[in-house]
Amino acid sequence: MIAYFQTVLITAGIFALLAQGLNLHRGYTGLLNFGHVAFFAIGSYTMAIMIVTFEFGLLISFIAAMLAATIFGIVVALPAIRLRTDYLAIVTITIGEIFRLVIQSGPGVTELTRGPRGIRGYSNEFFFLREDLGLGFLDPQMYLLVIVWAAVIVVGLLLFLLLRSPWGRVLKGIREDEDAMRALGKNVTSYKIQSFAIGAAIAGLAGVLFAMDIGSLSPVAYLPLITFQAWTIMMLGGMGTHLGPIIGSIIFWSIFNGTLFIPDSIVTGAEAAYLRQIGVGALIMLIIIVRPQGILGSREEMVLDK
Amino acid sequence: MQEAFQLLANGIVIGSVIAVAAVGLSLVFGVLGLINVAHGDFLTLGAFTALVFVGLGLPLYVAAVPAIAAGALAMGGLEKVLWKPMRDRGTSNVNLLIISIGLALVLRHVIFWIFGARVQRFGPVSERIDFGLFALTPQDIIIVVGSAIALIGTGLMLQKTRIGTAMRALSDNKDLAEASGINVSRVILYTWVIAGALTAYGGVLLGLQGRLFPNMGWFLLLLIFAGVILGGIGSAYGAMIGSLIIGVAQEMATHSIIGLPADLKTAVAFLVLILVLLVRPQGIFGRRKAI
Repeated sequence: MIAYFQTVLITAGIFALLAQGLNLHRGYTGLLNFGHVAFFAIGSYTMAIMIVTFEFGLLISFIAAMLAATIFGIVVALPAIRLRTDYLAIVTITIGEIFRLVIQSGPGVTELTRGPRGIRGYSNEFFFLREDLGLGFLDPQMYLLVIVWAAVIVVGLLLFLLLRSPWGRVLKGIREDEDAMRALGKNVTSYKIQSFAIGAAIAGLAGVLFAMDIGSLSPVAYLPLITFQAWTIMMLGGMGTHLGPIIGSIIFWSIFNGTLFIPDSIVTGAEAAYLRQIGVGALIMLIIIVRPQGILGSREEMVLDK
Repeated sequence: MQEAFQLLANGIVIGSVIAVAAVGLSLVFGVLGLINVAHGDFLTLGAFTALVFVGLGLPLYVAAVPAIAAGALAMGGLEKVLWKPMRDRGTSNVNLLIISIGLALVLRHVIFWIFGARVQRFGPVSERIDFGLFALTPQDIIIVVGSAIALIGTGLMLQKTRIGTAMRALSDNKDLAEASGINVSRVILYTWVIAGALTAYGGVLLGLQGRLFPNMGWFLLLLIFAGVILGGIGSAYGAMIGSLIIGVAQEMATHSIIGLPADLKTAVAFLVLILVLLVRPQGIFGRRKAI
């Protein structure tokens, strides 16, 4: 039972981070990013390659992973951000898929990513570090859980401060009425790119922690489904709220992993996996139909979609 | 040279499948402005419905009939129970797009649940026939001919019939169409029904290539988007041409001179999609005002 809660909370924390980044894009800036998994993947892979292939230290690899995600976010945003919302959705989902195909079989790239065989052996230093941090009394899972949630809280606080600042008010202004912000002399495109880059960096951080959790990387772990799960979590908790991604993630993963308790005599493992995905899809539809603002969101703030 | 012709032929075959599906997606977008992410999974629905009837011992061309009916019924039914009520409540297009993502997940995994993950076939794929410059299986030829029939039929429907004219009027200017006495709800319903029939038919054609599996339509979805957007979103004729170009482009990318691994050929089509959206979002045949 404790193992169940540990698993739920580790995954929930990682996806809370992912949803926090997405929330900055969608909830606060109004950008439809359906390629979030690409930033997640670039975080995982940069960290793993830095450690395994180039033998850098953990801290530098961590920072490099977030930096790579940020830069990739800017590279994606520079051309794409001017597009109409639904076109941005298509472009981002496509970029996510291109990215996955390239790490899987891109010529030259696979020498670093090892293609479908994947990378392993990058997480030792991370887990050894717990002695130095004075967390030696924790078992590895518990230690990962603490680190993940520390990251969620730090990112949550930073976002809270950022979004309360004048910078954050401009973002919300863009979400509500882009033209009005332009008329006020704000460089809307630049703000959108900044939002995109910061959200991508958070996804990169989530990717690093996800890599530590799963222990070995392979391209099949980075399907578009990850993006859709992050969207579900964000919408469930409430877009444009600070606690939404966190609460949404805990609820989502409690239910999702809770289905593992259904005995095999009722449904087999493979069937249960399909039923879970049906559940995710139904949940997405249900949120929009019943409560588009999510659990914590306010309706007034969220029905302004064009 | 031989290789180039063979790749061209392969590209036309897959492009033909994409085209049938893309026209359906484009019709719906033209009339409703909705990007239906579940579109690919309706191809899968069509293919597997046909598979069930093939399993009952019917020949494929007969089994295609209930498959097409299932696609039409499913899309038409969803318009009645889901899309129309949501539109009437004033749900934004962005939220409708998100609903379609949920719908895609549900539909695909229901198919997974019923049929399992293993790859199935309508029947054995026949030997390739050598045409000199290229070789194709009889199934490939049926795909190209079958697709051409459907596309010409759709073209005639759009040009010659009342409902086709109404559909074009609606995608041109909704308010004007409504003001001139077109029954908008009925045209929208018919659009879904026609799109559903076309898409399920496209699924049967896709299955003819050999492999049926629950992800087949989903994997094709971004290629369908690419075809639609390259041709000009909302333009049915553009979708046909765009899809053929996408099909040929992704096959040609694997030519030994270019030397791209076959796994990456879809990435080429995706890249075309992104470039078109960035450089000429109205596509080849679209008009700028439609964007």
